[in-house]
Amino acid sequence: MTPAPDTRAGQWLAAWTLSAFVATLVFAIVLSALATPLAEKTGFKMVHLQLSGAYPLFAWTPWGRTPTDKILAEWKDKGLVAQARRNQRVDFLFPLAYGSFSVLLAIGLRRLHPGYPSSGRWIWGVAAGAGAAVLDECENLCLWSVLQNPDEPGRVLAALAAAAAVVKLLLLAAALLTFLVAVLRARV
Amino acid sequence: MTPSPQTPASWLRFLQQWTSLGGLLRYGWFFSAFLVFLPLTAIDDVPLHGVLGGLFVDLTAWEIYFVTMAFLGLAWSLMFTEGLIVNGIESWWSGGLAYQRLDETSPTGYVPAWAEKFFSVPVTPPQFVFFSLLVVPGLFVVVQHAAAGVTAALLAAGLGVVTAYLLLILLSAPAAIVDQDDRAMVDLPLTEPIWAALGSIRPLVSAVEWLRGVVSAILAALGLRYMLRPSTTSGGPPVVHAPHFIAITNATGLIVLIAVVAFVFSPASPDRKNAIPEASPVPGAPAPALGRVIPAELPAVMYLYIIGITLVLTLTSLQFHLGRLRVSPIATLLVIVILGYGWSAVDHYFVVVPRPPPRPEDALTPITIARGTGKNLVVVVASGGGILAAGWTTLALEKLIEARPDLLREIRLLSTISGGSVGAAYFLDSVLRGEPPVAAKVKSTTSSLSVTAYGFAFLDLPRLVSGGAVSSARDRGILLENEWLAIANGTVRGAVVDKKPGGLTDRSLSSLRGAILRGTIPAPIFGATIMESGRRVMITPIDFPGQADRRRGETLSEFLLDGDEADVSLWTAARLSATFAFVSPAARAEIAAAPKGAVPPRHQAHHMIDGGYYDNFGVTSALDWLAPVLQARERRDKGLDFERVLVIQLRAFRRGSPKELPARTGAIAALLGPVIGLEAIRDGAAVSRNDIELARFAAAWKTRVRAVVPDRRFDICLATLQPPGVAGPLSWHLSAEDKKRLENSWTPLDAARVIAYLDGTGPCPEPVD
Repeated sequence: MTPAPDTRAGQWLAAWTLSAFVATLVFAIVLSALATPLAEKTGFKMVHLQLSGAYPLFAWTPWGRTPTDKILAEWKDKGLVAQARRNQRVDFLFPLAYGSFSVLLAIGLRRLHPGYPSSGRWIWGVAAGAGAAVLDECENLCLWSVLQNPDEPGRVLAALAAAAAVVKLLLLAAALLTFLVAVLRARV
Repeated sequence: MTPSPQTPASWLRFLQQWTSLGGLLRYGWFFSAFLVFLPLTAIDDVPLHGVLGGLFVDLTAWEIYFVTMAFLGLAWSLMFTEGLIVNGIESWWSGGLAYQRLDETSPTGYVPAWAEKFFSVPVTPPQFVFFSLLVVPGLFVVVQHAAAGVTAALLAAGLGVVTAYLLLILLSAPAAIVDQDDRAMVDLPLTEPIWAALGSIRPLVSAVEWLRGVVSAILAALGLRYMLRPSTTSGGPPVVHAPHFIAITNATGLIVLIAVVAFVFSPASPDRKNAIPEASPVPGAPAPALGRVIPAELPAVMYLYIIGITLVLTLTSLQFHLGRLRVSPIATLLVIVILGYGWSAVDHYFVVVPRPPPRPEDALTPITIARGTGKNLVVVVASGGGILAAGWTTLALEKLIEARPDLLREIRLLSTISGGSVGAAYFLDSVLRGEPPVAAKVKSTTSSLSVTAYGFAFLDLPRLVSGGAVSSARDRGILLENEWLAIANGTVRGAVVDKKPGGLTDRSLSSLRGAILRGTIPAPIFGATIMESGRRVMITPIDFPGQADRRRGETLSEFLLDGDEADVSLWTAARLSATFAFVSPAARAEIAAAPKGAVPPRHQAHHMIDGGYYDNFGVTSALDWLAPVLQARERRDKGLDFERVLVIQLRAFRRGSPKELPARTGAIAALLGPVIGLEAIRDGAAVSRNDIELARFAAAWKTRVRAVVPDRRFDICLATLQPPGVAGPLSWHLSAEDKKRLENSWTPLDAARVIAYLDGTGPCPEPVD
């Protein structure tokens, strides 16, 4: 007996959402592992590089206290630039995973809302994660360029990366907040 | 508005549904994580990389073919079992059938509505795609790290996917061809034409109908009526629902396939149950008949996933049936294990051959061993640490002896633990075979994880979950010993060992006595721990003077047999010393030729576990051996003229400063403080105790012996050889990359200082005040 078309569509949505969620976890684990040597040997992770272009604007956070050239010099001294590039390469895939997940989650939550399709448009806020993913890719491009020339890192590119990173984090926070509100209001 | 108790607040209901889903699919989540994340351990710095990472790398095309099928077997087992569990959820609370057609159901409200539609039977393309995608990370890892090359690996993986899919269709065919209105898989490619073709074979349909009748009758007899539906023919007996029938045929088919794998790939092994002759050939089992067509053994990862499939089928089946009675599957299994083992008295054994004690003039005492060593007396202690420690031990001995050939005669004691013991066993065996030193290194770094995994999957897991009802004389510990024996008997060609299928030469510890006395090989002490008492035991051919007392540990002979010598195979000694937690089983002695009916003393039933629990460095046993030797030197006994005592510590892992360890959070300290502390003490106490005791021992004896030696030319010196890095695998498998890292981690400057000291041209590497 073949399930009804709307059931099948819901199943596809669930399948892709769960797949995107698993992919997000997989990339998070891989990126965390790739960053381990950087953090262990120098104390700097990729997040330090992401915010370093805005130094000293975010010096009040644990991740914004070092300028880009110092981080890169440290990595170069310890022979870790190749490792950072490897990390950066994989980081291009991570936003694809979490961006897709947030869009699919938003679609799913919207459809499950009892007032669908007339009300509950605020749930689209969960899809802000996709905007964050786009910015993450821009940030990755800038950091990739910075890592190509660790002796003379481009200040503008580093600053652009930091700006993209900050807006990305704000968008992710907004997506998470929307999701939590949706859960608390149990409209799903 | 205040919700009534009958209609809880919507967010509470949301939480209730999600926690229900989490609990209901608990085995699904766990084994999905097992499927997805375990292969990621092949990546450096992913948690568990050191223990499991090597399993997924260096696979050949054949191996990737089989591993792909195992990955998919686990994924699709999850797909069916989780679907059936969620599909039957309503009957847990409200009774009735354990299956409802998807189009007939409205949300039950026990779990989120979307989950009820997604985790369900019939299996549809979305579910199939999701569960199949779970194998992608694993396939990516094995293909990327394949020994076969990416193209061959991709082809093998592709072939594995096709084969597994065809097997799935065939295993699902019985239900599909007799229940065409209620198929458990719909709209999947190739299913309809294949099932239609099979359904046109009338005898096959009749046979399947008969099989369904038998299954239905058995279910009815067992009282499992919730799996049955009324017959479509009036007055006919109820028949099993198609989804349950498909689950039964798939599970049965998988069990048959697993049994075939168990039979075809059963490791060849010599019969080692009886007495161990002195360096004489033991008949080896012939190679498997299919060995020339397909590989003789499968990779350990294949067995790991077979264990996963077995556990998924066992646990979810128990959950499906016992869930409606609110009985926990794990608790049920524990009851079976405890009662079954108690009733059947099943255990793991190692063979001990009692021999009469040597005459006093033939005794192999520490002093007789130390005689004739010349100016240098060298003691090597080798730490535990899995196959890396085995490789580090043989690498160090190879390099040191290459640099100073006399060292082979000067090393009079090898006191080893766990992985270091395995390296020491290969070293001794290799020297006795007259092989070059490099041979022991190649052999000791050859993987033996596959047979252990086979033993766990096909011998010890069935034994465990059946409560000992399914039991074999072999276990994974014995298979591991046999594998080491086979590797030791093999021929080294470059970086690989060709195992020969014919007779295998085994060695007992007592057979080493002559070679030790002649100075051909050093005397070994393999350190182990007694599980029941936590005491150290020395497995060794050495006859220590007097009774074991508060001044030294017991030997295995002293512990097990009152007066007689407890002789074991060299490989049994290494295995007992290297009973790495859960990789090998804790084992108790089986005394060969013990009188039947006699009640053995209670302590003979005690179990041996890894020596690293007590002392992971082998230092304590080395000091037990050195003490009588230095007493004799102090007495200026004849034949003991050595002027330099060097204790070389081989440590496979370099430890950082304890002050650099990251601090735990307050919550972790509050919840797990005692457990973390106990685990930390095992290593921390051993390190600090060894360092302190060794330094004190050396300083005290240097002073005492110097007082009686002319010109005060006597020195006791320490040296530690350890790789510069800290990471490395702990399991019994090294990847090609790991082997390269091991070879590159040798520290020639440290070794040169050791040699210079022994030559008398350099200072002590680690002087003792």
